[in-house]
Amino acid sequence: MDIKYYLAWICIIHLSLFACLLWSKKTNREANRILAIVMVCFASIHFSHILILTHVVAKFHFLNEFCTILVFLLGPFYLQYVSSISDIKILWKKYFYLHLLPFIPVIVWNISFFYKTDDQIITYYENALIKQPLAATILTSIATLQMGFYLIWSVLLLNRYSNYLKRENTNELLNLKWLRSITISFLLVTFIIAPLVISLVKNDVNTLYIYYPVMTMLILATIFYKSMNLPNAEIEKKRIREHVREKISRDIHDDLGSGLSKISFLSNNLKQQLQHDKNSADQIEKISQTSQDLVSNMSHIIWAENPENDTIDSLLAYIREYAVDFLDDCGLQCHINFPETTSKVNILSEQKRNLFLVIKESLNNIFKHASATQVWIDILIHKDELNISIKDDGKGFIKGQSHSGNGLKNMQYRMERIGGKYKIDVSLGKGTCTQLSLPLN
Amino acid sequence: MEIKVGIVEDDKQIRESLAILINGSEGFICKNTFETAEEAMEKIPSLYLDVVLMDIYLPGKSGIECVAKLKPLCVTTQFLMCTSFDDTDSIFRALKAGATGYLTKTTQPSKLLDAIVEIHKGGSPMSSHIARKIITSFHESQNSSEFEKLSPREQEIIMLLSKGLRYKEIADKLFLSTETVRTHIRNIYEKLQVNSRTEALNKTFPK
Repeated sequence: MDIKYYLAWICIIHLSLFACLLWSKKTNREANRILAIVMVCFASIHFSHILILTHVVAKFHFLNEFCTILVFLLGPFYLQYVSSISDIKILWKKYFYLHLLPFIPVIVWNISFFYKTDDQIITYYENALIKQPLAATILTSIATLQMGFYLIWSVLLLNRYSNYLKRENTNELLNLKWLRSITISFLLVTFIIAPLVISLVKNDVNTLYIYYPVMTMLILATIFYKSMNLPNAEIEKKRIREHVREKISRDIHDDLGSGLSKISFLSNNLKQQLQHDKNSADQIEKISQTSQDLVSNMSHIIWAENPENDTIDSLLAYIREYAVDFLDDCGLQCHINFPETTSKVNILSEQKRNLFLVIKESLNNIFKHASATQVWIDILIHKDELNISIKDDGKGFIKGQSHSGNGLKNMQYRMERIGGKYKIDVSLGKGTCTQLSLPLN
Repeated sequence: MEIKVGIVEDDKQIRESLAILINGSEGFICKNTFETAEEAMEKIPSLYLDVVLMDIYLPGKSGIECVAKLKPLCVTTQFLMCTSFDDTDSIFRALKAGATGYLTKTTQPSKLLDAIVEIHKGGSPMSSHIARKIITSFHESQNSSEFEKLSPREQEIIMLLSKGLRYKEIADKLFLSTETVRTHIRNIYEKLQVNSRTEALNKTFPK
């Protein structure tokens, strides 16, 4: 049979596999992308062979060369996929020249075609497709070595990552067994099976052309069957991060939380038993208060660390809830003016936490020192800037004479650290007005 | 009529001091305390309790699993989840499983009793973070019209809650009594539970 029919048959198989890969969007995206590139490359290589052999245009051999270079890129692509899953960075930029090395012979070989006439090219390809000439053999072995090198690297990364997962006790979260076995089977194909088949069929090109598509089909069928289970880098990383976060907050709950709750409970019990002893009851009250403060501080940290709360909206809601509840408990009247419009702009957890702590301390100062009866909280979002003003009708104080000077400096420092401003307007008898501003973005 | 309270808590001292606190207050009685979820799951259905204080993290089965198992068996019992901190993620899962309230263990004794009375009377607490999670959960559910299942009033209330308004402010704003707002919120929780149950069913038996 004419070789051209074999080539067309291989070409159709690859194109249909490419179509399948595009169509099955639901399976793993990164893996699909790599495989789709492989399929297009192989299909175009064989298509260009047909064009050359039918003497339509010899110039089409450039398609062949171009795709050969793309095939050489598969190794790095695959390694990048594995590294994005295993979260182990590869220094592509630093050792770029090393990754370029295998391309040098390919490029040289391609350039050599510029100095050949069309007839020579056609003769070369006719020969190459029937018998393996030396140049083609060298090229194939470089490709095999290069692919093998990247595959070995991938297996090493996968091993390292699965060891890490085992150590962290999260190995049940991500099943890498499948990915590792497929990588090892690729390795077997490139190093053992493919050379074996090529050497066995020797000059019988027909066998080779039948073996070749069957082999690709088999490998791809397994990948398709299993690709539902191939891990998606982003989703997996998020899942593992969440798992670790949950583990930490669970630890906090188990140890710190139950301990603090116990202190709070026991001190409350004791307080009731010691009602006649004013002095001891006061001290126990302090213990109970401290443990409750610790719990509320821990809650603020947990809240700030939760990525769900990263918007201005949720920060404002949290501030509002806290302020109303706190001032209500203190018996202060509270006037709140918050922006009606909502903003989904993101805010860093560092900014969130510091801003909240400054507001908390300002309110606390009002309660403790100002002897106020009313508090006004105004929040404005104007031209990408968040402006907060907290005003009271208390007795005020003289700047510089206050014992809470450290507290004020601390608040200023907190605001500056997150790129904001802190200002306090105060004079004796006129209440205080704290103004905070924070640029957004 | 006294409020019959049950406690599920693995720490002996906390369990006992809670029981002492509840029994020592007028209008409450606490005869049943349980150390594990397994024990509670076995005994609570035949006790007809009014309110159960449930710790979220228990050895063995968690408080969330326990509520999920018990709620369909004891419809009249209200489950109040107890956590050490405002851990919204776990609280939200418990609410979806059937709890109707939550509190932190360090809440002052008087507030703790208030919370029990409130949940018994048909009210439920809801923070802005929980409100936001409920909104997303209704939006994300496979049936896109799920959010419509909340009445317009309920949607209005949950939107205001998600902005951080307190019950009293919402009541003032919408010209309702605080009691009515509380009832609406209880209804939202019930719809959330129904919604998450259908979602779980849809996942097991896809259409």
